[in-house]
Amino acid sequence: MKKSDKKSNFLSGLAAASLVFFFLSSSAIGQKGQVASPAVEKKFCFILIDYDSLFCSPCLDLFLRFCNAIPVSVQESAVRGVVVYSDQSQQENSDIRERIMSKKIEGFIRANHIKFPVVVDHSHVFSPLKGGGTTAFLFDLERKVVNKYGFPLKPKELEEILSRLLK
Amino acid sequence: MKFHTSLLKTVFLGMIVWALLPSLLGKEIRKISLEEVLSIGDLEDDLLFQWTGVTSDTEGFIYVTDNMDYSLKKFSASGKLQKKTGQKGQGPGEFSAPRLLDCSEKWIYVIDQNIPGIQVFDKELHFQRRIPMLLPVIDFKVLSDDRIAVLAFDLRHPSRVLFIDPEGKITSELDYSRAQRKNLFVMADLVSFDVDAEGNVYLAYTYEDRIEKWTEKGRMVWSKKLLGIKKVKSQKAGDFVIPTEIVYKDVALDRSGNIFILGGHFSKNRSRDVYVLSPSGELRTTFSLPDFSHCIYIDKKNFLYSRAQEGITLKKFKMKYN
Repeated sequence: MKKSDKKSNFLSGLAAASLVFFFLSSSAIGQKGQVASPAVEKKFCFILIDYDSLFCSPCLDLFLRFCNAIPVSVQESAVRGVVVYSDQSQQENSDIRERIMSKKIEGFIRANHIKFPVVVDHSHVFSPLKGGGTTAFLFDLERKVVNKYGFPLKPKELEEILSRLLK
Repeated sequence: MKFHTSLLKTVFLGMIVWALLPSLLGKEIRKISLEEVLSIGDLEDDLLFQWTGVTSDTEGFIYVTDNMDYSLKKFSASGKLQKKTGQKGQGPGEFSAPRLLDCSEKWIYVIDQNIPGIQVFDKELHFQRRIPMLLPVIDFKVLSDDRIAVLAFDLRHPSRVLFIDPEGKITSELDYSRAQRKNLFVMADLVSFDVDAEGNVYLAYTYEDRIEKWTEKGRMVWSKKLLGIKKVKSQKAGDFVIPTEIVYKDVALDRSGNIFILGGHFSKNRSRDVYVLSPSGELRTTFSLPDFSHCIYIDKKNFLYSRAQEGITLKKFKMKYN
């Protein structure tokens, strides 16, 4: 891939993530009553949460361990979550299914004291990125780098994400 | 005249008894229909997020475990939330993945997929103690304050229902294993079970078309196949072969000893069809739940409970026979 293409992809990704941050700051599940700043942090973590993994105990534990390792203030300012699931819009009662999903996620967020905003990707915008399970994308605008981490995270990867977010 | 009046009364009473006899004896059920009498939890409230287990006591209170918010909840007979306890954790009264529950006269018993043992609560949901179990509990039935029947996940002895005392000590066991175990995959003998008032154990195999009645002493009374299924699909996971299709999801007994079996993947209406057998194992009728369910529960007053809206709602039905 040419250098100019790489830069273009990076900037596109950055624009998409910035948009995500803006919208997630203002209308996410579990953040009722909070008025968040739409400003984009220089380093932020964007997590694609696979809905099915919420029902796998070991997968869930590892994900929660990651969430709990991030200080609350950093969660609120520099982490955003999007729940992705298989497109079932062709199925009957897909609207009700979406509402059921949103409600379950709300319960999950509250019970696990997750402090970063989360939305459910009902439009399946991020479906192409769904891949194999929950994934974290770490954006570093200073270094102009995006790193991708698949769950379960290795200890070194967790350390890397935390050290970059907390710097 | 007096004689005629007495005779008429006797004949009249006899006709009433005759009419009620089939349902009293659990025979001759032709049809069962469901009338919804209670619905707990909906999309707009915070009552239930994903309930996994349900039980009801003699006063009509309904107890529910909720996997999504790691809780045990108590509802009144009219569906009003009375109390909630629990949070995520491994400590006393905490849950990681709460599953089934049952109750005795005094206590509520809860099992957790990730935490060994059985947690015991009082009726106000105060944690009392944990009954130690070395192995994960898959299914259980509280027979009294002093006796619990437990199916534990044990790869060395996969076909045993254990009867334990309040301290967790095994007092007896039912071994339902088959002599020929060649080529059986892991979890082939996994069952859901229920126990009647005489101590007979009813098994509904999860991955096989097989329903059995056993005495507590270990004698098989009968074995039935309802669906004509020869084999379930399976896949390899490391050194093991794991089944991927569920035949029967749950079993429950009504007041008359009729056996209710919730079907799985092979039923015409997956996870909704309920097969009703007489105590002697004859298929009496089949009916369908209005929504998919992972379990069925029948309380002491003969009301049936099942899931709706993927666990956000608990439904309670009056069962109308014939």
